[in-house]
Amino acid sequence: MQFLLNDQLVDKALGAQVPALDYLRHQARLKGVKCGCREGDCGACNVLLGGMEGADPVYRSRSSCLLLLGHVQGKHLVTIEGLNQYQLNLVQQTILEENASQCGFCTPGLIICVYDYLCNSKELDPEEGVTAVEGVICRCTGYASIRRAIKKISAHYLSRLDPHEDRIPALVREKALPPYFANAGQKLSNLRNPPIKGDLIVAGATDLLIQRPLEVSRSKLFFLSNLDKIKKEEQRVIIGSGVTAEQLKNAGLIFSKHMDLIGAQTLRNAATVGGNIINASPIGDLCVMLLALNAALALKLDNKLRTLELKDFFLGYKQIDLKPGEILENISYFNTGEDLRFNFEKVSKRQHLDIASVNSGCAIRVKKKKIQWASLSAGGVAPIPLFLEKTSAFLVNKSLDPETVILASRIAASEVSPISDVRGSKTYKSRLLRRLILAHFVTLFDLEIIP
Amino acid sequence: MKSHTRGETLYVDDLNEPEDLLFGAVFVSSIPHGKIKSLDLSKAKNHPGVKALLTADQIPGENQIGNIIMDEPLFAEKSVHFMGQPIACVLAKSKETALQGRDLIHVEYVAQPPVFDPREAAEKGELISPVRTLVRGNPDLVWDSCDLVVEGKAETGAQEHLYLETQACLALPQEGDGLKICSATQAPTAVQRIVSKVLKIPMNRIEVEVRRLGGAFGGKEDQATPWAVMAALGAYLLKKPVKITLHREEDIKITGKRHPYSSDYKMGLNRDGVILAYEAAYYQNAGAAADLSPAIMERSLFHATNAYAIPDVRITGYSCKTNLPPFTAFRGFGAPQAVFVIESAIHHAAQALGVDASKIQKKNLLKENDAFPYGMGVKRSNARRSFKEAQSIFAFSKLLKETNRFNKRNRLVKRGVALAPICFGISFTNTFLNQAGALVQVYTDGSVSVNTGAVEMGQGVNPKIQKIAALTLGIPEQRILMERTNTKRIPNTSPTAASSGADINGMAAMLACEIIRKRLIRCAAEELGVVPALVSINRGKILVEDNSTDLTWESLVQSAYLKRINLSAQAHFAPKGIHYDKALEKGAPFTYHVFGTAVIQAEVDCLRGTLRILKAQAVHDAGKSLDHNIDQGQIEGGIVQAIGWMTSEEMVYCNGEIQSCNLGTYKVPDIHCAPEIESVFLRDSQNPKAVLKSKAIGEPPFLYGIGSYFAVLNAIRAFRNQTITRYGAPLTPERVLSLLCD
Repeated sequence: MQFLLNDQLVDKALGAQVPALDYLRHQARLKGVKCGCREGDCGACNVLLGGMEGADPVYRSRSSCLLLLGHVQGKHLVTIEGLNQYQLNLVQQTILEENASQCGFCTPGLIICVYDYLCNSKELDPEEGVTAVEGVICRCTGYASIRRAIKKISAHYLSRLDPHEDRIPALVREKALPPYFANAGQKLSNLRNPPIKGDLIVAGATDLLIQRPLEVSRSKLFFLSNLDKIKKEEQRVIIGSGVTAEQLKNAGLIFSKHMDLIGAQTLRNAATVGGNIINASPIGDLCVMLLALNAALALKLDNKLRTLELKDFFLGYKQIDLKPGEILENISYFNTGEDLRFNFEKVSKRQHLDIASVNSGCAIRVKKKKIQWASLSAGGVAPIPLFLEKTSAFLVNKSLDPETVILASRIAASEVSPISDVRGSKTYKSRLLRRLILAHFVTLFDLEIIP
Repeated sequence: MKSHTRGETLYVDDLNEPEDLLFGAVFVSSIPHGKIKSLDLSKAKNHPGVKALLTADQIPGENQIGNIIMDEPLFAEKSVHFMGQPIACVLAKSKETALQGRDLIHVEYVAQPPVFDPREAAEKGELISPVRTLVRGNPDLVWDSCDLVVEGKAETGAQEHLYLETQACLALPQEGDGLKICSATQAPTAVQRIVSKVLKIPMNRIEVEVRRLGGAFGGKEDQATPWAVMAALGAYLLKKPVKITLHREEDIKITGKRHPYSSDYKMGLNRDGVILAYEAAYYQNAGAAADLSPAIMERSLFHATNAYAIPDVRITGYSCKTNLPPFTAFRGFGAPQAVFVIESAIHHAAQALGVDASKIQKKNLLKENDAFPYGMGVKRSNARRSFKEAQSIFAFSKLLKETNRFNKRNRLVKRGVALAPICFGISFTNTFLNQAGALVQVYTDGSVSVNTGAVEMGQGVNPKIQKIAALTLGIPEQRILMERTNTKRIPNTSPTAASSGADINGMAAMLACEIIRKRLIRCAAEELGVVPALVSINRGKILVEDNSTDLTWESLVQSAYLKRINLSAQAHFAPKGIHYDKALEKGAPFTYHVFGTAVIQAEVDCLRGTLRILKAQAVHDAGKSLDHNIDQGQIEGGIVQAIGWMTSEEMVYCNGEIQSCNLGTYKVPDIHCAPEIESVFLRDSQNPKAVLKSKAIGEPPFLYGIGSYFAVLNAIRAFRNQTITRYGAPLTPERVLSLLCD
């Protein structure tokens, strides 16, 4: 297996199923990578993963606990040690000056995320910097000093970096990145990257490694590749199953603006739309969005394609209509005209990087205060991500008014069967779903509804 | 720290692993209460790679790790009292093997009925320690003369520390039955003492070293001990290094948290809002063993009246024994729970009187010489001054008006504001703990090592002591190295806790530096042929009557060495004037008090039932702050941690099992939850009672965050337009929606 690790070439036999975190800490002995939770929820083990996108390398933050060496093959893995130069770089210096590091355990992962921001944010808007570090849990600072540091770092580079120049060489010029980054692209292009084939199919592995770590460690893995394109046709959008949540966020699709409620940037860089669907979590955010958009799946087995509506794909709790060996190729939905409106609602204990108590999607067409067509979905209220069939049917041909919407919210509550768990009692979930149905209409049409 | 930003800082799990290292995996009880019928270790023992199984019967000394009360075995023997109670520890050549071995342990229990509710435990007489009652005056004689009496219930939940570095220890056998223990603990001496007791070896054979902690917040005061003792036991019995680190999920499931409290309150006021009498009963859920619960209850009692002067008070505290993992120290140490109760009572009374709670708060703030229920009078009270300044600096009345305007304009989104005055007593309430030692060593090149008993955990105690030492010696800070905390160099340390780290250790370091400075000044005076009184050291230069000389710090140290002058000094510090009589429940347990007032603004989405804390602003009394940057960091961190406790951090239990056992289900604040924070240091506050006129900073600001609860409640009231007197934290979206609807 070949990959770049900081300024070194790694070229040896390594297991594709080994989490990068374990490799880095125990084999490469890079102890700047900390282990905080092993579930991608704290950011202490963050690393940068660089890969060629077109002619240039692109670096994005990843949780190394949810990153397998199979993902790293042919890529450039950068740890905090790989960003160190003889003197502190400006990011490190600013974090120190602003006292944005107290116990220090989250600091390396934080700095990695700041680099994701510096490498990828054209405008260097500090709010994008905040988004970049949103997956880093700091229990000491209260984040105020981290915000101050991000502001200061942004201001420094805003005057020095041109949004139109290639960012990586510019960051090398500004001594933000060590000199070896200058020819990383060339080195990356020369790496061997043969397909890794096995029995257990792996996409982003962000859920797989949390739910089934032992199975992963004992399996021969199959790493999906070349499924990461989004195609926008005139009436249809086709999303490759390997497209990441972060790609979707930046793709300008009808649901893109809601993607900031999904995971954190570090996880969005890894999690794929296909993974979210195959995982079939009853609360899967993308499943719920795509259900409302009446998405269809293209499934492939031995070069034979079949298509299936997403709502028919979920059979029961974590049970799906997928044949052995079948691979989800893409997901598509019709995006007809400007009168199609879409909204997504999600309530969780914490707004970001949390699993919803209840989520809901709504796609709707309204003409002259009359609902032409509606398609609603909900998660967290049934064993599967649920298409709200009765609610959707009820709304068609109804006039768009508060009474209709309140009735619809009651119908929605009647077609779900939530259970009580750590994310809320069933009474709450049912009540919350009603509220979220109302929220769709308040948000989309500014309806005056008193709950 | 510079090394933090380079990823070069080493925590226990980062230390080099010796080749023959054994890894431990802790086997724990899977039921909350019962007898152990049988324990089958044979399969685990025979598992390839497993080297040993530690259980109670291999303990050479006492199977006892209790700190205040001797009620907690290291390993359960005949019975288990909480889910997660350690029964055995598997030692193996790799962590994976140890975990596999652990899965092969089989235990049969005879289940006994568990108790999880503290009130139920109290009713059954299941108490950790005797009931304590703190009385001033007699409220019973006052209720009838009050214009208003409010009564109610207030509840706060458990809080997980979520230090980023989980519990960890590496124990290394040394020559002659000795042990070196690298533990992630706030209490190196407690680890040393308890290892000594369990292994039955003298304390001088045990070296405990702490470099730093990746966060602690009280969670490594007592709770670091069991893992350190297990690792020490393994290393001692097998003569091999042993490492035990807890996986996050394990750590959350089996280690202690902030105590949940269920409390009753009764408050009597006159129609002007003057509080005439206050009564509260705290039912503290202590869990299955004492841990630090009695001391935490004591601090709750002492903080029952927060920053208010109340003539007639009766506070009762029940430390209730339940079948949950023993609860423990957490920033604030029982004070936040008590403050929540009185602030709930005030909020309740304010609604009944139809005024903003700030009116009642303001009327009752402590004045000079007002007495606390425990008898101590307030000196240099800054309660009123900080309240007034917060109101004026942050334009509170304008803010109230703006908030009302916002609420009139917006139907589904409402805002609320609350003021949070605080008063926090500084000192360990257990008087003997208020002592610290320091050892300062000057090397012949002029570089200086400072050793203290303080443990650095991100709170900045080391940079503060470094600053104190530099100022005292008259040299640049860069010349001083803060050494790792080590029981061989500083013995008999108190835990770094109670916000006292810089106060007592800093003072000890100052005293030691003072001794060396005096010796060097005498030496310089001799060399320069002047009287010592004229000589001073400033920024590494030796001055006579403020004029420079040819002597520098380095040359002076060198000549002192040649003259055979002692360049090391040890010092001990114990603050004077603190005492407490538990029989009378009267005394002066604190050296001084910290004051301040925060303004908290919140916004509630009344359609979805979600909330946001928009802004937190505080006027804080830091005395003469030792380091603005560090103190500001403590204020900001404390506020956000408390906002988590009040809002999103919900510890979910089901039949004694923790369900919210990972970061996916237990939600601490992230950067998006954190409000904009503005902190202003109270002007001209000088504290003669602490080092360089500073004030302790660690815990007090946590109390500000409690204001977020009442800000949210006020926003909900703006939506419902009716009285709300259900006081229960955390305000999860589920609770918020319930408050909006029910």
